[in-house]
Amino acid sequence: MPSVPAGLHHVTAIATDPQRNADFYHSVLGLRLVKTTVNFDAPETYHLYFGTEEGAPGTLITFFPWPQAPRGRPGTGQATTVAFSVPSGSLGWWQRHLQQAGAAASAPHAREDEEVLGLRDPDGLALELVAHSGGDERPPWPEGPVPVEHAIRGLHAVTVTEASHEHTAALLSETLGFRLEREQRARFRFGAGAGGPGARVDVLCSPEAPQGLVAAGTVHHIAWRTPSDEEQVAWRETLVDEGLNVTPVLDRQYFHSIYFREPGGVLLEIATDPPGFTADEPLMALGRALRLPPWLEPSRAEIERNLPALRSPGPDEELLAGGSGGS
Amino acid sequence: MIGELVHRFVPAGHGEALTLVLLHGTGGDEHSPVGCGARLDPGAALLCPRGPVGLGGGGFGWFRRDDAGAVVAGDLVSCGALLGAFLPAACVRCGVDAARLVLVGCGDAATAVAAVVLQQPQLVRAAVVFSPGVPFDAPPAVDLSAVSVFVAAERAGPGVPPRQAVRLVEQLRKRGAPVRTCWDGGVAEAVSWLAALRVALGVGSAP
Repeated sequence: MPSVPAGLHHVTAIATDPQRNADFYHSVLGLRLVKTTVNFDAPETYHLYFGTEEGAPGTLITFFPWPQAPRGRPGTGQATTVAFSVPSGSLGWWQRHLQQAGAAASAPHAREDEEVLGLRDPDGLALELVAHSGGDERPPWPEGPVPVEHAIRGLHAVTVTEASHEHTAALLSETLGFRLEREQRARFRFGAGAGGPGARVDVLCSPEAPQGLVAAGTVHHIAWRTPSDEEQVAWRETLVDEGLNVTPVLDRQYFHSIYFREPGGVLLEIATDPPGFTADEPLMALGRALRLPPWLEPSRAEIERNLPALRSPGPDEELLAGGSGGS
Repeated sequence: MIGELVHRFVPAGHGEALTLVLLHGTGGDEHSPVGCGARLDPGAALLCPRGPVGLGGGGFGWFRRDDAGAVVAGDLVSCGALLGAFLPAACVRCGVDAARLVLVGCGDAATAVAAVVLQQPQLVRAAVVFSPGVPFDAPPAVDLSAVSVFVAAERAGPGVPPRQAVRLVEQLRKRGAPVRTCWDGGVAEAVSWLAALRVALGVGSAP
């Protein structure tokens, strides 16, 4: 048996305007754009990765921004909320900051042993900032636009909404080895690895909710960490033995991936920690130029022509890519 | 009978896929658009209904025209009702996900596609239209923000955009539809647009 995933690796969602997306996650949430690339299967769509300084697994939210994406519908069979971990005592600062930034946010409220502030990104994706009494040892991005004492430490948890939770719960606990940490009304919290921030998934049983439709403003998939290629292959065998349809191992340049759907319909991924984002550019330069995998490099000119313009988020605003074609 | 249209269904090769609902051109039938669909998205399932209007000589169409060439009033409204009844039933029968439908048409069939989208946007996630006409002077005030549309048409002359297509695009955008226009070429652009659509809809990421 491969080891239980240590926690979330990344969450990937759909956006529309890439500039608006990059500006929000950099300037408002204070995350670093750690990689600017394209979706390898559809290179007219960007793939933008945001995280802490080096884009450590468990701190990452990534987007496929495509201006022509239809609006999605949150609902069952979907990851419906992405929560980030912030230091306790920082939510007052965040509330003022989000108000100044014109972001749609609620007032902080208590939920069990957490303080939660709900907000939406510019495409309507539901996010939370969660201050947990247990603290979070992970370092924030020290040079980001948000003061270090308030800055995001990484992902906290993901909520998946299901029409019925039993089969999903069975997959999480029996196959993936997660622990049921608590059960409150229709919300079941599972912990991966050693638990704690970045290693949680809440399964919300919501039979009255509409069926979710993936598109702009919704989550595409959630990825769980595995430490090595060997463990990933072992996971693949385990999942196939369970009767799940699993993709072959795919090379995502910064990690290797397998994908499968859990019984409720949410697309899950198991991604390797290595090689990480410094695989093709130095730490200092992360995200500042369009990176392409070797097999797309010969088509760079055409790819750049078909991408919408994207300027580096933040004060210097240099052109990263695109902007020479399209309508 | 409402909900019943003669149709041809070509299942997807393997794995998750879009379903292209291909409306044949005037004079065609349920077999004529299969090649076009396979070219636009080789992985997609293809659902090709036969138009309700018999034209003589074995061909079919989606609406009638009078002696002056004008579309017979009401026929485009009927198109929407007909496909509105047919598509959900056909999805069940063919075992395809109703949330992954893309309507495709060229010429008169593109006009019919536009008529369906403007009347029953909840039926589909996207539409691809080549050289469409304008189905309605004053379409209903529907919300099209959840339907992406790719519109291709030949320019009317050098530097002159195609008038009908431009007017349709205005109607679609006014109702919130994300629209991509293409006034030169079209097929290659539609192929890569559909690839981006698959990503945005989360289709094809799992086996």
